[in-house]
Amino acid sequence: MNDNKQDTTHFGYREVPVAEKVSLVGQVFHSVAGKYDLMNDLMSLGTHRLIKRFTVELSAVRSGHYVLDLAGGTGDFSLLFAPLVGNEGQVVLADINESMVRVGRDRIIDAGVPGPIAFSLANAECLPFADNSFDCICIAYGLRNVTNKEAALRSMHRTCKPGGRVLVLEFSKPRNQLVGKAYDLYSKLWPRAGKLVLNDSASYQYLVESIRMHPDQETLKQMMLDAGFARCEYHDVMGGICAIHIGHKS
Amino acid sequence: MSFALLQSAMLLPLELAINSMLALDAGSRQSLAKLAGNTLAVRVRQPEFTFYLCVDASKLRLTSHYEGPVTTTLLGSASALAGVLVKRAALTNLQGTTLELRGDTGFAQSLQNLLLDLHIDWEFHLSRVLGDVPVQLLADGAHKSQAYLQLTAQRIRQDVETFLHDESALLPAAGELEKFYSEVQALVLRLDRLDVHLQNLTNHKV
Repeated sequence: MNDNKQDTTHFGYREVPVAEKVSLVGQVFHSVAGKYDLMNDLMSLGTHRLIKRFTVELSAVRSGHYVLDLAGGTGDFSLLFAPLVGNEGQVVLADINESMVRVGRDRIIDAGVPGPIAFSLANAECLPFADNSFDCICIAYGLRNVTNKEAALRSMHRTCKPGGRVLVLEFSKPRNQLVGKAYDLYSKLWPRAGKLVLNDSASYQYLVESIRMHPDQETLKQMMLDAGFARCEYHDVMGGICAIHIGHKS
Repeated sequence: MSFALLQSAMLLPLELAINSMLALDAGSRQSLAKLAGNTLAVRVRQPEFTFYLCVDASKLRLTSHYEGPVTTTLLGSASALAGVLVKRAALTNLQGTTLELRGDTGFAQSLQNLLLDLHIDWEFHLSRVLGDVPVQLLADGAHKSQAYLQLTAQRIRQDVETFLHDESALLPAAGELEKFYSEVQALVLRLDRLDVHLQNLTNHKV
């Protein structure tokens, strides 16, 4: 008997073949890379900068550490981590999308950031780094775009040093229904903002849908435990609109 | 956690302001470099919150979350801490306050001296976050409010003085007081002279 059923995954609300998701997500980020930071400021009303700063505080990164800024995109986190690791450490900005890495690399060079920052085109599901390489791995607003999240978490666990930690900053599920409703209404404006700024509403429609499809706080915590992380915890940010998950490698 | 995020957000403009000032002052930067690697934890009671001042080679980081070793811990209520800041009192002399300093007090004192020598232009730094026009309006409002409050306080003080002296006559006027003090002073002098005169008479008798 011939089974023609293809393995599928979600791309926003759509079910697409697994093999297609990477290129579809790639098209989204190729499209938005140039004005990614501007759109982030518009959509979050600037609060994403505070949330990122707070995430870095939770990372406990210090001088001499090796840090992987996974799905690092335009380099916000690399810019925050670089002064902390100093010249003794290193930050690696890794992203699967060439356009995003290019924007991030140009921005970091323009900022004249001291300390070594390396760049890597890398798929989170199969990170091209040796085992036990990093003291800290941070993936911010990236995990929900990964096709196989479990594989990505396992890959992060493999490359994290024993005693190191992984931080996952991602949109999540608001705790309060009223906050949830308000947030739903507000996020419906994002495709329109995308249309105005980038003449691309589809990418931001995908963003809204991908947020809805992303696992909630407890589910993601369990996924991290299943990937091998210990002492997993999460911090709700802005009433659960975002969550910062932290897992340690024992 | 939202409170921690808020706390982190509140520390950000302060950190930017301090580091901007440090960047302009070579002497302060050198002093800061000598303190690099040390951390001051400030544990505030009522309301409860903690923040950390981490000294790097070229900047000061203010953070709401820190997991490394702490050099010095400063504990106390928000009002006591504010009192020390307003009076610019030395952290090494906390007698008569409810503040407590644990660890390396020398580091705390050096850091305090460094920060007290900074003169921060709040309007400039706020304008970087809020924009020039809103900050100009805020600053104008603040200056006018300050001037109005000072004038009002001065008038109230004058009115109370007038009422106590002239209307209710509960207190003597300033001129009356001065006359009374000068009379007392003259009396003291005359008593001193009388005392000396008496001593001379007593000595002659003997």
